[in-house]
Amino acid sequence: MNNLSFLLIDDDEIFQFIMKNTIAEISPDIKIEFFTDGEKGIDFLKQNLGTALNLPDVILLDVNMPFMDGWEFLNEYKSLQTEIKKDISIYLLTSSNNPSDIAMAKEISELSGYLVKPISKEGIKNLIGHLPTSEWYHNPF
Amino acid sequence: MASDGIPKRDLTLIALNLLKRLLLKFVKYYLPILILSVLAVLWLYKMEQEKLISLQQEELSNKKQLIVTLLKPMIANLYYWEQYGFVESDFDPDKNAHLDKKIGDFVIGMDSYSQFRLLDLSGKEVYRINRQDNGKIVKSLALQDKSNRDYYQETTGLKKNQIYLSPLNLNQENGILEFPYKPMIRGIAPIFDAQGTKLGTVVINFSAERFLELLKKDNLYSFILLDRFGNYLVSKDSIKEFSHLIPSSRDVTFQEEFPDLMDSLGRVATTSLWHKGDLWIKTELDFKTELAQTPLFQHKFADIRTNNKWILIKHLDSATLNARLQSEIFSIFLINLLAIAVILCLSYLEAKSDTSKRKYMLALENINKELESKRNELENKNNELATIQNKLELRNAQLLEYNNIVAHNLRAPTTSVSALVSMLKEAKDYEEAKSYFPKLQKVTRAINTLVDDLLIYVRILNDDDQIKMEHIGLESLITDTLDLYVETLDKETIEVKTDFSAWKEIKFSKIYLQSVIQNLISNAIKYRDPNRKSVIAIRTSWENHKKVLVVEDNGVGVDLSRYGNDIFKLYKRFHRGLSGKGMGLFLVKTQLESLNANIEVSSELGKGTAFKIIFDHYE
Repeated sequence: MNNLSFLLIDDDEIFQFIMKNTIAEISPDIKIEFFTDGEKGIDFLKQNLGTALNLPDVILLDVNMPFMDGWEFLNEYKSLQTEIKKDISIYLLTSSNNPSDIAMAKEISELSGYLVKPISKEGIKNLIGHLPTSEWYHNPF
Repeated sequence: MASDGIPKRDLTLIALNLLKRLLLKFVKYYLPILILSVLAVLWLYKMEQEKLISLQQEELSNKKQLIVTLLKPMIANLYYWEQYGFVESDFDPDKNAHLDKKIGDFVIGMDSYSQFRLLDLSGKEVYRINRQDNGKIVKSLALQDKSNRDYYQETTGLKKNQIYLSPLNLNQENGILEFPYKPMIRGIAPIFDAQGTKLGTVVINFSAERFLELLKKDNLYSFILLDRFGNYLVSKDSIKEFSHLIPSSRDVTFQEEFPDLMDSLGRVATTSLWHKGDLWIKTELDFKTELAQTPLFQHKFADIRTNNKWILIKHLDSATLNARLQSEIFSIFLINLLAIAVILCLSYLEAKSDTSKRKYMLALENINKELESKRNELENKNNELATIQNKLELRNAQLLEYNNIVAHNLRAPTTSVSALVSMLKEAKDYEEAKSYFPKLQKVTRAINTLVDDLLIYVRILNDDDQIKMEHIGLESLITDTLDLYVETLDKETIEVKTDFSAWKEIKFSKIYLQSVIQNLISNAIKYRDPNRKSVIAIRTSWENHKKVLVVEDNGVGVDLSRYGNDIFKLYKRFHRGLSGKGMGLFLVKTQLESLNANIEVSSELGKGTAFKIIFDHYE
């Protein structure tokens, strides 16, 4: 658990700051990196396809982002998945608790779960506690 | 006529139509009858004429037969007296009294004989019996010398068994015409004794009076009898009869009266011809030919010596013929009149039934028109409802959009605030707490911006009914807008082309239209392609009877297959490194839609972008 690495793709810099703080409080060993949109995230994955060391264990993916939103990112990811030398769990992390969004998310096999903002320290701990899991996860909201 | 909602003009039209149909139907029915009538008249006329000609020819033939039949006994009687066996003494007036009984009885029995005479070789009468006008038979003692008369001279050469017939002429006594005129034919036969010595001649005067009467009787049409020279023997004009014999009359012959007609008639024995509208029917009677067939005794035939050749003519003048024809035409005319009356009645009934049908159709048409207008009314209402529905749908979509904005864009910063606040609460020292303030400030600023933007949005949504509409001259509006960017345009040498040839003015909200155009021009400048000369084209046009305004650039373009759905959404940005908060196109669309206009986009990466504003039902 200590060596987990997170990748947060979210254009909200404040949220990035909050997440960085929260994760640091849970464990200083957990690594977290950020991208402000899906395009940058995909570019990073493409550059590190073969080097599992650089790849995250968990991707927290926002939906509403400029240039490339969460859904588009998942589409791109799908085409890369076979080349990625690591089993990455991807969770949607969004402020929308819209049921249609949740239903849409469940249809996507690359997704491991659906997290609704805001997510508390306990929420993140809970998520980490479930890792690695093949079950659909969503936080209580 | 009750005008069941039919205008007066239509009624006049109907009346005219009725008349027209009536005439047409009348012509349709009557024309065949008229043609048939004319044909019938012509056919009847022809048949009549043929019948007439054949009837008249038959009549002529009957008359001819009558003449022959009346003359035949005379031939037989003359033959009888020729064979009687007179002796020389019988030609002595003093010795022939014994003949009285025999001859007297004979003459009594033959009432058409007016005289019976015996002439000696010198032409003197030797025996004479007269039939007086009262019918009495009297032996005449005043014997005359006939040696100078033509009939004596003609008969001096007669041989045995020959019989002479004189022309029809008038009786003369003692060289003077007997009056009243007595037309007659003399039959003469020579007398020979047993030794064959010629003793003289027997002369029987055949009174033609009765015979001429018979010929004149029962003539519907004028009958003319001519001798071979064309002298009139019978004419309806009695003055012409025997005019060649009567010194006091003007001698007139048929040839003289109708020279060319006689020519034509003369060629054939029996014929008919038309001449100047008159019908002439002719037959000839040649005594020699007709009477030669008279059987006398033991198959002996008479040897007739005569010049007599008569011409029998029927003259039907045009007036008479036309009178006949007129009576036929008149009867057919009457039939036609009757037909016209019947056809008029029938045509009227038929045309009237047609007209009432048309009237009915017209009424039906009116009802249809009413229904049509009702339908149009309904359609208009429907359209109105559809417009309202569209507006409601639009409003619904806008509210949904508003909800989404609030849900997504407002929720994120507020949750951030609460997270920051809880972090602040747990801060170990002031230094740590202080580090959170800029973050908090950033979030609250974002919230302020969002709320401001939302206010703009909500104002547009609420304003659409009160917004001021005015006639806007497009050219000045666009010039004013371009002036805002004059520095950029000059510095970057961006070319702006305008074409307002399709339309120049529109009734719209000036504030909105200015905002829309400003946003589009600003976008075109912002997303220009630095690698080529930038051109912004602004033009008006018509599409499906709607005014269209196009703002087109040759800038970097947008991949619409990727961002198509989002290009007009709030806070959507598609170009990294280019400033823009993602509010412009969202406002443009909202402003246009709130006033029933639309915006469409077409774009290609690296080529440029075109925005097309479609004004629905705008003046």
